[in-house]
Amino acid sequence: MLFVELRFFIFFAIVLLVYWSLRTNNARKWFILLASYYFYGSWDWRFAVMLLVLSTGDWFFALRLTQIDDGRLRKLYVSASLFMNLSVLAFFKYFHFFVDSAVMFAQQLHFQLSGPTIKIILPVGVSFFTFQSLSYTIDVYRREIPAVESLRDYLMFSSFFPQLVAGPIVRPKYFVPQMSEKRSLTLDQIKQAMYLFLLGYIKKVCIADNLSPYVDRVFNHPAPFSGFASITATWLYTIQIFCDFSGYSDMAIAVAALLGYKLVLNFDAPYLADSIQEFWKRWHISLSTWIRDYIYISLGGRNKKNRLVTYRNLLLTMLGGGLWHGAAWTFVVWGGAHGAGQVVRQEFNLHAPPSPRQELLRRIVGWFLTLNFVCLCWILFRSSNFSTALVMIKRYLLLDHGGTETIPLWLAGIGPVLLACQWAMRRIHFEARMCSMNLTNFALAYGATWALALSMLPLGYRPFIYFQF
Amino acid sequence: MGQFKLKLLSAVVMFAVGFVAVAAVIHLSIGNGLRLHADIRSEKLQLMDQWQGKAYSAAFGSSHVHNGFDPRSFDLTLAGSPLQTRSLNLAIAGGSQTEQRVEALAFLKNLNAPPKIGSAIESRSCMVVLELGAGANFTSDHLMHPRSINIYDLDTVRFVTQLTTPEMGLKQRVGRIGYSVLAMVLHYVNLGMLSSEIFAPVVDNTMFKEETIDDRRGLYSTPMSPKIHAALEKTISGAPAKAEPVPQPLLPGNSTLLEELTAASPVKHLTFAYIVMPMLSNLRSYPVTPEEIKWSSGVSPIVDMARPDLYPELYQVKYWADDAHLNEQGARLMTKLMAEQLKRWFAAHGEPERCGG
Repeated sequence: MLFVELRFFIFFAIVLLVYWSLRTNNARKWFILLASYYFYGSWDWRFAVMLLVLSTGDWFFALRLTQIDDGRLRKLYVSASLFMNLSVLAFFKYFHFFVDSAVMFAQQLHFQLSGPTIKIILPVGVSFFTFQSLSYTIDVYRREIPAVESLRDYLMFSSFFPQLVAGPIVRPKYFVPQMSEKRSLTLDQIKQAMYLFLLGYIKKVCIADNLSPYVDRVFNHPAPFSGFASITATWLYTIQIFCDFSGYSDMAIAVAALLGYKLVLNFDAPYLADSIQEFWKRWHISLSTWIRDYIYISLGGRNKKNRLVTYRNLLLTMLGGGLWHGAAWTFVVWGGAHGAGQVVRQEFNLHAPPSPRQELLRRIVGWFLTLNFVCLCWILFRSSNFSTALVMIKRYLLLDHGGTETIPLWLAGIGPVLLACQWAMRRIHFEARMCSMNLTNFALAYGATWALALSMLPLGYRPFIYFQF
Repeated sequence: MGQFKLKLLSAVVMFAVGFVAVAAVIHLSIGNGLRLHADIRSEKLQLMDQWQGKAYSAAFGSSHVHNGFDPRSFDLTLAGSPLQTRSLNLAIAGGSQTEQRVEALAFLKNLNAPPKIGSAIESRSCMVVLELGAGANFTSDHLMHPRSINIYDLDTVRFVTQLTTPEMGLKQRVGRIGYSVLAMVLHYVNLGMLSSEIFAPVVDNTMFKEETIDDRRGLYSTPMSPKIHAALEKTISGAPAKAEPVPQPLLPGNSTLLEELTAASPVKHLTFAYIVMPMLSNLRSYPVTPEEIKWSSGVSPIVDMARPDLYPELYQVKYWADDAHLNEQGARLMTKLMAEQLKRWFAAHGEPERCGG
């Protein structure tokens, strides 16, 4: 059940109606729990059972962690939780990757191995909910938060349907306290949520899905396309992945908000960033802060005495982040490239410290280089193999002119136009202005925008890109 | 509470006002809906454009016509007769009565009368061949497809209501009309129509080449695979000695369509014919239709090719691509038999007036 499907609209309308007619917080939480499992079960009920078992396990381990003081036992419980979650992730997401890599490696050493023929179906959103559960048990282990005593509350936190399948990854210290109070909504909050939902819908359906066929055409068979078509397709993918994922996040935040819950901001105009570090502070914020807190810091984080150690930690963290995105070496290299980009930037800052006089120039050049570096890295992310990636990268760097086939020239202008729109909307505080309108004007503008959005529906729905992660 | 309800009501009204106003502006600004994201219809529209002023007849309908009507065979059989013409195959896989209606309207809108050059090769008739048995609407899979949404205006819905009769089961009647009404709502909401205009897909050149190679003029041919060959042999050899005839009554929409097409055409004296396409399932039961259809401006023939009792030569494995579609050889034979039947019918009922008068 996708947020952009008619059946989700019907499902959510019923949820809203029942939810707000329930009087007690307990009844509402029970209802959200049921709705969340129904939502997840609509993909495959077996995965809903798996989610229930995993969540119950984590709830139990966390509860034991607060009940005992023995350091060794506590380590045992947190390790059990880590093992359980990572095993599920490794089996469902990385089984084929590990096996195929082993077979490939063996073949390089002239051993003939053949992989198993079983086909493992990836449970939707497995990377998101396992990371969310991990952060819970680790936080309890670190004594940063108390364990949730009620199983019902924990199950609701771990399965909360707005963010269950594609984030934002919700941290327990942010979300759990909200569950203790009966939620309420103001008119301004409703307007803001409705605005955000429509914005997300437009990003996903009207922009990302309409661009997707052009991107697929070029990336699936790049050989006959011209260099310019390849560059344009890369730019279009840069827009597509942002609109697809941030669109989902916007809708998730909006859906949660209409139930009275706040989720964290997940995107903050990342393509306006003027450095790779800045980009990762604005792109998939809930994941980048997760890997910072649980991988980078665990590895030692920033080492003031030896910056090589800092760079090693940074590279390992980004390689892990790459692998989180997909079970393929192209994703690992993508993560590594982003890590390397951050190392280079830090070294540059060290040897050429910023001065106030060069500030503007530095920011403009930084933005241009960052954006193009991110585009180049997206090629690795989108390509199904390294040979496709290499062809596309060469064309992006103008080292190969490619063939003669083209895609419409005007598509190259979409990126700059959208970027300018985003910049302008931030500058004039568009969201705040929309939400501060009186209800009548807001409704008028809202109806008009929906009419426009529906007319921009693409030929067919495409699943959210981040569902595969 | 009263004030809250009033506020809510005014917000709902304003939402509707905003929605309708913008939807209306978009709807009025969209040009030819038929051409919007037409998918496989795009190739036929291109063919129509290419042959404008050079072809005077066309066959419309579903994949059965798409694979079964050979314009070359049709023209050759009618050559020298008062029905002589140059034709196109404008049928589309997955096509429906609604689609053949709008396509025929588009064809007729740009139709020119054949020039009077007194030559033996001149065209004399403008024939519109329509498939009688095509489904009323698109399949439910196509409801959300712009190809379907684009054509479901009020006139189309009115047409669909004429494709139902009280004799039909309630489920079929509600289904037919319900689909068209739903598609009409999506049509006036402009669902996907603006994006279809902006992100227009390119014409499928491979398909277009298939349909135009060897002067096919829209005929699509699927080669038969050995696997299907065996299955078809089994179907034919396993058929009962005598197939069961099932009467197929005409619907009001069948005659009103002819009236609508006549009214829309700038060229006078069109010739109409309905055709029932053959399928191998006819070996078990076949539809029996009237031989002609009466409408306000006269009578037109219905050529029922789904008759193993009348055309046994068609029901041989070598003529079929699968159990519902003819191959190129089969299309040639079927079209020849159909054209001969048309000649006989017009010889018996009076020759049509020259197209254009």
